Amino acid sequence: MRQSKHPVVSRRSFLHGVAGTLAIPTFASLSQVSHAASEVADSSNAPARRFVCVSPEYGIYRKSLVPQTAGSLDQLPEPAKALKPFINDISLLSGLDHPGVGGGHACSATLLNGMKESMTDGDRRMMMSFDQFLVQELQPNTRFQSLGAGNGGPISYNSKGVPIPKEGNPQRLFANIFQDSSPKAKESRRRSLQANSSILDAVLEESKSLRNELGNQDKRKFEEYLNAVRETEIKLGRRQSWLDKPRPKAPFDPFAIEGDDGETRHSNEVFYDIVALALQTDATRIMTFQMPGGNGFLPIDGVTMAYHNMTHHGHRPEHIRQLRLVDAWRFQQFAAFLKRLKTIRDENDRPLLDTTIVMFGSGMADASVHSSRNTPIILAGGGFKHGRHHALPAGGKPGEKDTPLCDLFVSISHQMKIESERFSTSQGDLDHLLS
Amino acid sequence: MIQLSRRIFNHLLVLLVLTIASLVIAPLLTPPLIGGEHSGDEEQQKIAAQPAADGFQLEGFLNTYCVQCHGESKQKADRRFDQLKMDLSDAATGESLQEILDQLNLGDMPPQGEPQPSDKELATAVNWLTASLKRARELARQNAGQIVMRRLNKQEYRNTVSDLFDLELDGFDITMGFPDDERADGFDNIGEALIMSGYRMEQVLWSAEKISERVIQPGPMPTAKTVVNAPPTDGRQPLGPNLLARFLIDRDSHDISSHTGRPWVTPANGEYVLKIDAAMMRRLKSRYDNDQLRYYKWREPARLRVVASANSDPPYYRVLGELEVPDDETKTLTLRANIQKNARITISWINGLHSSHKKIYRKVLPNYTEDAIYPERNPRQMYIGSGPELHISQTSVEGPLYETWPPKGFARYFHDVPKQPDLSDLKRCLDRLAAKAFRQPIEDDHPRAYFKVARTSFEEDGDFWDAARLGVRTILCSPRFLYLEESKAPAESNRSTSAYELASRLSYFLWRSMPDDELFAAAEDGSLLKDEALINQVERMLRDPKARRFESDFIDRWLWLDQLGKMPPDPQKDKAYYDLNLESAMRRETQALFHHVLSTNSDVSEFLNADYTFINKSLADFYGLERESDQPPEKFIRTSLTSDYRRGLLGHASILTVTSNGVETQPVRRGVWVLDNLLGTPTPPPPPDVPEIAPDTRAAKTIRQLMELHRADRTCFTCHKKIDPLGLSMENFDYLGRWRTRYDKAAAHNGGPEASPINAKVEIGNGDYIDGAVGLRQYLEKNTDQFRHCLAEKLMIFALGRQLSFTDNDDLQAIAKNKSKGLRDMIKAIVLSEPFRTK
Repeated sequence: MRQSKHPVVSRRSFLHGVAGTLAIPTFASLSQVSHAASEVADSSNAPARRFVCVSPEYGIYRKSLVPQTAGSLDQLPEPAKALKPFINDISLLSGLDHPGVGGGHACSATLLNGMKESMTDGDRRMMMSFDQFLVQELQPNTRFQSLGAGNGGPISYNSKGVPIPKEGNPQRLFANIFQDSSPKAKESRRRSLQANSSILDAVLEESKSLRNELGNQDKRKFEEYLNAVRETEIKLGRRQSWLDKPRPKAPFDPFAIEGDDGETRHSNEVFYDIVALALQTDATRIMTFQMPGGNGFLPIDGVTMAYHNMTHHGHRPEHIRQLRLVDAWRFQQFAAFLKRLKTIRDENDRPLLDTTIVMFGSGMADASVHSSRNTPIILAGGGFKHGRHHALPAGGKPGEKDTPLCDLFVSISHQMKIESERFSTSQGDLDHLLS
Repeated sequence: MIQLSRRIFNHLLVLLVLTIASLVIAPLLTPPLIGGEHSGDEEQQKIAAQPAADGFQLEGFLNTYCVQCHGESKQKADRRFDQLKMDLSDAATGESLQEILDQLNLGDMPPQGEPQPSDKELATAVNWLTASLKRARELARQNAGQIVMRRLNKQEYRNTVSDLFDLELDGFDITMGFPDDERADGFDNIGEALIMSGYRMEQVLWSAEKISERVIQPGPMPTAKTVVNAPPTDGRQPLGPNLLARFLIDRDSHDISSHTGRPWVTPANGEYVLKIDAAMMRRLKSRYDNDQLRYYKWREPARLRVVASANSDPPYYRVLGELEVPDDETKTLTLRANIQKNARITISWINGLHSSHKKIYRKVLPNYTEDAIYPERNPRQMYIGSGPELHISQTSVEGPLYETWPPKGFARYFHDVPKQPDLSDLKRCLDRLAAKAFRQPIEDDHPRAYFKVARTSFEEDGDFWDAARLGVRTILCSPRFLYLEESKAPAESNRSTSAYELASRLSYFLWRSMPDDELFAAAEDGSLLKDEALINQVERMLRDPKARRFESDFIDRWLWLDQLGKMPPDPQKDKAYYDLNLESAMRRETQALFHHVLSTNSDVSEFLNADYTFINKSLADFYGLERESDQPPEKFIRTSLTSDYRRGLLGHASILTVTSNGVETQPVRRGVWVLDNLLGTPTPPPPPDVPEIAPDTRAAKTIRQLMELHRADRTCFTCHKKIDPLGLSMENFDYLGRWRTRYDKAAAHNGGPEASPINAKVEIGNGDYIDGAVGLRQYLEKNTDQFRHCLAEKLMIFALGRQLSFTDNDDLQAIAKNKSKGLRDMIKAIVLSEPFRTK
């Protein structure tokens, strides 16, 4: 089906009744980058410059976070009480969904693209995730155009729909951002980069003759190889140009901070600090941080069940009691992160949070039934209008449409001064709620 | 009269058998599928490209229910169906049909308030659409019959590098950063699906650099040395806590050279002989209650794990072996292993102390001597000689040792480089390597990117070996190495592969790697193109140990064994799973059955009903089986099955675990597994927005009741009436494959289902039943031909590295039909078939 003569029209867009929605977010023509984003702004409604997505792979138990009613955030449930000091810095959106993704384990992996492979008719480019869309649109001139931290399944996909690996080890992540190599190591790195560039040159040239020997089928596949080579050449060029620029100094050492009782902190807390430091030093402006699922034991008082078992709660009270403890633990860490972003000042001496959009949530809306439907998302910072719980139509009832999570992505793009009307399965935006 | 293909016929057979008679009958009798047996015939194809009309008219259906909003006057959602071309070879038609099907499955269209089709009409339409779409997909693939240039997947890449350079890759993970391979039809060697991304290219470059450093070894042989490490024995030094650890090792790992001040590391890549003088003291004669001391397993002999590791790039970590320590007398334990340069060697007592020494002194010893709480009066060494202790009195390492120098992989390509090498030497050696790496001869006019890069470097720097390394790197980044590429067919009438191309296809099928010298020779003299020589090669290759790669890779994908361990059970609840290393034992059992059927050329029905299996002691205990053997417990021994329900693959814990989620069984997944992997009649994936079934156990419903509710939903019914009975009939096997007759009482504790007895008798339509695991086996045995067809299809996909098109159908039928032959014959038939030998 890949060779279809017709433009790829997403079946999903049809399913949701929007006329002629193109679900390919990769075409540059769909949007225009405003260069205001990279200029220094001095008004308080400066565009958001940074985007961070924080995602617990198995999601959270909905009732740990979502109040019974829409409107004020005063009534956050008990497990979310750590967020109370920040209710004016956050919005809570409930009822969001990635239409068409439906159930299954895949939904965690669709958080940032709203697409699973089976929805693309073989065109994996449709799977590019929102963070990479931002990279493509903003082309940030930073050492890392984006960074993925943490562990678990993929959530970030490049423009070819290929998952981007993340760094699961906080030490290595920190070293990669802040540790300058010795001049000797730099020299050998430079030699390696140069050698690789010349290898790619030669291979590319040789490939021209190979192309003539191939059948039509192969030519398509071969283009893919050539594109990969070209893309890598550009990347190596970028690497070389950053090689001589010293890495920033980390304003503090996240490994030196002790946890309660002088114990080593949980890696989540260290990761959060590194994310904050990376943004503070402008090593990158686009980050994802994923906390993995799995069937291990989390170091939380009162939690005795293995994590994966617990998420299959089937509404059993003990399972839920423990899940709420896990969620409370996650919100404490997230609240500490928000606090840090409020404390750090950005390049114009505003709180970093004001120009950083933080999104917390998972594509797995309900781990017990493996559903993507009605997933709650916390949106923080970035100059949005905050302080409310927006209960959006969650679908599922006759005549009721659910609200695509991608609508939120469109609004985030707008906040970052990207004039984009669509992303993936979006049908509109949520600007009216957030600005 | 147009003939039904066997595959479709089988599909229908299952439909019929599984149909619960009350609802869907009409569509089964009016199949829109017309598989032309003579696919080359144009007339036939033309007919096949149109959906059959008898019994059902989509136009009529659309006109009645859809065109009002999606027609000439209105085109809601930008869709109109009044002009739909009923030409299944047109991709746009396929798109539209899929949309309509999805809408019907969802129950969203026609919207409420509009005229609704009856259940029967709906079921008819859904079946017709599903079948037509299958046909359309086949048509769309028609031109894709030829093999697409296929990137080596991770496994193939590793195997090829290892065979090309005779490199030991254990612990040297050159594919560490490679992204996972993309899949199609469950296989990860399908050329069309495998992607090359910029990210992967970067990893390929990195990997090539590391390999070139490893391969090019022009220097003299490193000299072997013996390093002995023994703790001081002159008694002058007080026995401090750190020193103590050298004698009595605890749960931490210990560097074998820890007392020498700075850690010793291996001076070069090579083989090392490691000797450890060790004794396990008082394991069974302890003065303390060993259980209190928190040893993992004091009832079994102590075991030492020896590990080599380095913080290199890539990081190196390799378990060199596990050694059993003799009780109460010191013996020298010896280990030989290849170890990478700059590696530390550490030992740890893996079944020993679970707690720290400190804790023992604080918590355990005071139970025996109250005074022990005053450490200043009771120094720790006081207690030496009373409890179980593992003593290491001396270690020594000798090496590096070499069988041959220079290393084989280097000598193979660079053996004739003179002292003052010139460009011609560089070209000769690299050509030699490239011919192997590219798996075909290098013609004179071949553009030699590798030589160009190497020459530039040699001319600029004058360093021959640096230049050679660059040449090696370039070869490893060339599409000719990274892809199995075949030149285009010389003519439409002659699509035969060349002998070299055939050699590669064969070796990537059966060895998952490049051809060896003998296979290259058979390609060079062209003999490989003759049937007899080809079959001789297959026989030889299957005898070679490298064929094990085929066995494990194939069943990993076919039976989903590669997913074993992705949803492991709760470590506290199912301790045995971890203690007995059941995960790997389960996998081994299934591998052993496959190996047995293959090597004895047995009939493939053994997979359904073998009344024997291959198990080690742990798995025998887990199954509650007698393992009739005096062989060591870790050996997998053929054992007769006493319980009827354990027979065949469906009695294997591996299969039963991989179709569960580590917490509970998933009957739907099990049913899908049987349909996909044994019957070859996969159901379409669930329509969007239908969550996987997960029981709300508060209502104390059984999974069976829940699934009945689920099936009552008309969108679910069509597929789940096929899936659910198969899965439910396996309910006597729990989520790890243990036999049970009642649901777990523990589940009831948390409000889960009562400890109700399991009812695994299911109706499959027409008053027929499958009664539990044994009944399922008998049902499958009755459908052995269908299983044979399914296995042949999977093997063929794996062999060809592409999805099958209906043009392969005749060959597939022929291969599957031959009942008198065993698995090995099936593989030979695939190799001899036209699809395998043509492009």
